Amino acid sequence: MNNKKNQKGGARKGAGRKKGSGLYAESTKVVRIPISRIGDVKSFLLSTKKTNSNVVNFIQPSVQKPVPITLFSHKVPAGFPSPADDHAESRLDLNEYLINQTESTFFVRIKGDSMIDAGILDNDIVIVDRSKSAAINDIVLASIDGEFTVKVLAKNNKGPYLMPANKEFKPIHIEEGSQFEIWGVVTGSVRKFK
Amino acid sequence: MIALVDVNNFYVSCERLFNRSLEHAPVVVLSNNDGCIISRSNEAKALGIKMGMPFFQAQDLIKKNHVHVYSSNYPLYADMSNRVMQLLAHLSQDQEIYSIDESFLKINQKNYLLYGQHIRTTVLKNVGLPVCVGIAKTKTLAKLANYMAKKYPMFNGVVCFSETNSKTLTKLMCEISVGELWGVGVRLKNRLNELGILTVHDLKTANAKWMKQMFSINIERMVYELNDIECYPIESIKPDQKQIVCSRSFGQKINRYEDMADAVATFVQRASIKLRKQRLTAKQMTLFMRNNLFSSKHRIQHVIRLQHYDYTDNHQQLLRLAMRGLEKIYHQGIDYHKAGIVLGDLRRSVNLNQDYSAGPQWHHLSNTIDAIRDKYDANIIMSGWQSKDGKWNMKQSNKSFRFTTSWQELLEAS
Repeated sequence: MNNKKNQKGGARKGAGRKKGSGLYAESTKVVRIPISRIGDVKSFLLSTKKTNSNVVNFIQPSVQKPVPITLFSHKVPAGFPSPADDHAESRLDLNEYLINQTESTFFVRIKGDSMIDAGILDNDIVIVDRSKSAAINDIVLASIDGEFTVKVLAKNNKGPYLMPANKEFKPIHIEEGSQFEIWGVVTGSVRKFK
Repeated sequence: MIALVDVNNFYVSCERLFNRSLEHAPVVVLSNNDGCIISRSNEAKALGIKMGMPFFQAQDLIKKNHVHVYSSNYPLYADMSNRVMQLLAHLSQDQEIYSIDESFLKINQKNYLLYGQHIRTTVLKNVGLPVCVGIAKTKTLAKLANYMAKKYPMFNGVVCFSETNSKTLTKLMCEISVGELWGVGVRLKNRLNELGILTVHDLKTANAKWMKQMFSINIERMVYELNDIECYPIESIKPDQKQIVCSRSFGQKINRYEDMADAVATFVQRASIKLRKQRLTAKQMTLFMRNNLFSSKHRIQHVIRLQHYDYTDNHQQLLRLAMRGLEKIYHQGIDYHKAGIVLGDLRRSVNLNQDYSAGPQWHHLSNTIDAIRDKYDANIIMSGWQSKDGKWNMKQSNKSFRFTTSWQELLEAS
């Protein structure tokens, strides 16, 4: 019985790789490193192994997100810095001027002449902000029975109604039982000439 | 506390926001190629239309009940998703975007039910989409709370495990199937059922160590999470993707080499844009194409795994690689139905000058092309393989406008 047991299994002397026979010529240990950096660590080890001196080749860390900075790029040929560099400001941006809350702002194309007295013409694009609460006399994007319309929000003793900004058009009264809602408040408009 | 905010019937809700006549009407949205039903309004659910149902199977129900049917409009849904996520970021201390319509939030409030309602009304007003909110100490419970908030109208869209009546919650947990839990699929549910664990409450009161022995550490954690012990914290920084997939079923069968090259070139374009957006590089590409599994006698699938000599995010290099693969595996005389590419062995792009095998000028070229596409139109610059209106393109018979991403398709008002 005992003999049989000795023939099977168990540690065999002298088996396995010899100590120090590996890539790094010494014992190694398992460590956790991010998968994405395995290549970096390997090349780091190889680069330090080759030189075998105190000089270490630094590896560029990966950059997650570029941070935009204002670049002062004036060349200084003779030691005179540009007097404007200290006063650099970011250039004007129409988005910033026209949009308050980006996530609640939508653009809507105007069709027709019903708002020309308010300066909103056919084919203009109006800026609609849903986060604003509509007040009387605001220009609003409303939906009546599934139709979108841009009008001035007005109110009389019967309740709210919609007022066009063009004498040729009649006010829109909201009939009982019709589906009416204010979709958003018009906060501006844009038009291109060319 | 952790809140899970989830948009109700997301795709349908997006369609409704820009077409107000759809409110209260039965509406469904179809997958790519108009194949299956992937989003349903509550009215459509009530008619018995099931999630994932093939469109042709539901056609009778749809005709009889005048259900509105839309092809999927991903540019619109993606933009609306970004708006919701951006707004939720303002409303929380920390955020983990979990899917296109779900986000975990870290919140700290005096009255959570009230704050849940505040989230609901703010998202509905500012972005225009209805959401439900589940609040609890752990992600698993927040998911469950969200499920309850959505399923039972009595909660008015918000359930909080520390504030909602605990008797009601326990009663519901005794009713809700364990299969509704986050991370429990059909197979796991069946195995749990065999052990007599049928409801959420059964799993909550199960012995965690025993669960670990019987299943895995994940189920043990699930038991802990159901008992308010957090095992999965909010991960606001997403780990890098392991692979990038771009594949499509074709609108009609493809049996010409040029058409297939057109499709593959477009997949490469889309995948390489995704790659660069995430600042990743790839070394491996798998290209596959197959015939229609349902309408052919024999299933034919051709796959090739391609290795690039170095990590790259360069469109031209990836395209050349894909075309080499295509030449090898394309067979004349087969009606191909689906194809795609998978980019693998991904790595964060390191220093530009050192690491780009193609050199920095190539990198600039890819980025410049991306910028031009962003500014004008995705199709304004294409490789020579691509055509503007490929035969392989999606079959989408009823797609709404891209109201928020195209100047040509803006919402109109009189």
